[in-house]
Amino acid sequence: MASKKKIITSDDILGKEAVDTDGEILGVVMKLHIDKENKKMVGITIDQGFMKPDLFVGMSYIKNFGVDTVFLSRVPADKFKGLDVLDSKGKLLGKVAGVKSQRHKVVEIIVSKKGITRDRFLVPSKHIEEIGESVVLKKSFKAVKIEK
Amino acid sequence: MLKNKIRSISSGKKDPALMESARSYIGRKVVSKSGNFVGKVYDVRFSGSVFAGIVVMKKLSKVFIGKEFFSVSRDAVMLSINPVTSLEGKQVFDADGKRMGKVTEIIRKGNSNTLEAVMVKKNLYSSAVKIPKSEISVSKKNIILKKVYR
Repeated sequence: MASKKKIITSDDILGKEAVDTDGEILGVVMKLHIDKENKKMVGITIDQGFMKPDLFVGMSYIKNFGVDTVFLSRVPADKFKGLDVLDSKGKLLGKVAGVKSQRHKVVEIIVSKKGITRDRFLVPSKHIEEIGESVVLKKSFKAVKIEK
Repeated sequence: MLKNKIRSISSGKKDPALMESARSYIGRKVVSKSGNFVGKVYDVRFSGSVFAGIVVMKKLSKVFIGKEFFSVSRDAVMLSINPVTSLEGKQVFDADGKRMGKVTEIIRKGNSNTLEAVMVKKNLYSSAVKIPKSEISVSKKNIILKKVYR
């Protein structure tokens, strides 16, 4: 079994699905990146599928190379882009346009309002109730509009 | 104008025009505590004359959710729980990244939202493996186990 071996080959990694800490399948590993000078592997590239950009993941973000999957040690912040943002009553406020993170934790999200104006506002993490298939905000949330 | 007005015969003073109708619940989006789309309201159920809860439908599977687990707004029904029933169909990986199969059945404590175990099947012909809740490490988008299974 591949996982029992201390040394694995590129065949054991390429084509396998990359899974983040939420258990979400991000895509398929399509490239291995190797440092020519140090002769060490530095990361992998994940093919996220149609219309999505490829994602480079550094070695420090890889938890282990499993039998059927590659486990990542973090959830990529980019994953939240495009998610619906709902207030505590379920009203759609807009979509996530950007994520600011510090030390791998989401600090604030930039939300693009629905409608023609596409105004943007910031949501600090303290006002975020949960992030799943959409971002649910707390009752305490008040929008801070970003000047254009 | 007169046709739309509802005349009231009630001991309560609230205007019936300001009350929500059961019909308006149908088709409303249902969102779990963590922001996941659970389904749409398919039906509203009463126990005797008292409102008991809603039936939520997603991909032909229906779940009844008691009124104690949600609040209703104009835009959606917001649940205060993440229904364990939505784990059905999720992929299961062991700690070594081995694909165990998909969740085919949820074992709960009665009708509560407390998970006891999941039944996992690799394919149609394989026998189901029972995995207790204590062996589950992550159960969000998919399920990751704490142990390595041989």
